[in-house]
Amino acid sequence: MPNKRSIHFLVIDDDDIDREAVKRAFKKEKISNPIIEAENGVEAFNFLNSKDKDYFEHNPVIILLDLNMPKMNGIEFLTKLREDPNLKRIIVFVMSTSDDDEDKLKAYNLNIAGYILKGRVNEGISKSILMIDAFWKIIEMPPY
Amino acid sequence: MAEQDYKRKFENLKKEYDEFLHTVSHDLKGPIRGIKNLVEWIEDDLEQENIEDVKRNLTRINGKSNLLAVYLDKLLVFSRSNSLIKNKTTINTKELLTDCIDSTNLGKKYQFSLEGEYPTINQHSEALENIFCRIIENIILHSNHKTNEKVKIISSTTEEYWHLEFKDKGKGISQNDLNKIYKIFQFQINEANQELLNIGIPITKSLVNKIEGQMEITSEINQGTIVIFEIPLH
Repeated sequence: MPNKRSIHFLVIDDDDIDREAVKRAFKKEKISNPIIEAENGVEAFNFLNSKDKDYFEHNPVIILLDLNMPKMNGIEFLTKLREDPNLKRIIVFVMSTSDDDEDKLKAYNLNIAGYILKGRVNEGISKSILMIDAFWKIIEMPPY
Repeated sequence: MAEQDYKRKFENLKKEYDEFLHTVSHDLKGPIRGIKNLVEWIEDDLEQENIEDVKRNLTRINGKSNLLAVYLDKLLVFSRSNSLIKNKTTINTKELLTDCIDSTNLGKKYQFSLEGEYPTINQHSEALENIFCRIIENIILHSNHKTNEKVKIISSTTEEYWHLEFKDKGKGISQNDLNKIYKIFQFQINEANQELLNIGIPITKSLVNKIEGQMEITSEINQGTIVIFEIPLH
């Protein structure tokens, strides 16, 4: 059994302020899990492909994914992720500003755990981060 | 004009309007959300007397405000491009292209060769000038900055249309980027590169549609890009 405390979060977002918002929310809520940052899908794959079985067994990853990014966008990333025999089980939460039904449909069809609308006015990111924190503490992570 | 022509024009305009609205309501929200976040952090950091972060984030607010100003300026340019459609006049197409090349290719860094027969046509001259100057500007902007790079412009005429091709040997555009190239702002590199915020191609496409022409872009990475136009002779 992997030690639950060692879960890593991979934040994929081209906006540096949005990535920092996640980091600040973690700090504010005293969540100490490591955060890995990637600016787009290509960078995220570079990270994921650089790690082996041993890493993922000890550090299960949960991905927080933006949709609208240059190079490889969120949907393209998800499509490729779900085709990879080693990575297809990874839990992904989408965090996007897009309220389009089409985006939500595409993302849920690619088996995301949840679609979070970024930047709802007067609603901070803390609520979403607390939900994700509670989520991983309760659920069983997919075995590698 | 036949009823179906009006219908097609209406559908095109409606599509453009929807896209415009989407851009205004969605893309412009990005920098505003950023500013809102930064203000919150500054408030938090001031309480903790974290002055270094406050200073850094004030600078970032400035950056986001500038980006917002650039977005709005470009949106204005886009919405004003409609006014370029006025009356049709007689146009010497070779002269028009030569003028565009001379005004955009400053320092004569790039070589343009005009090949084929250039017709005299009856069209909206300001719209055409805008279309071709923007394309040449884009070719220069996205070229791989090698000197002596030759761009071929090939012209031919059929009964009803003027065909024009721009062929460059630049760095090319990926299929992924080609899918986004006609949409306002979508082909955006990053904040530091904000002059590349995509507006040239969307304006060009919209103008070409309005003068009842066609436009197509094909490209291969590191091989070059071909932009093809079909413009009605009258």
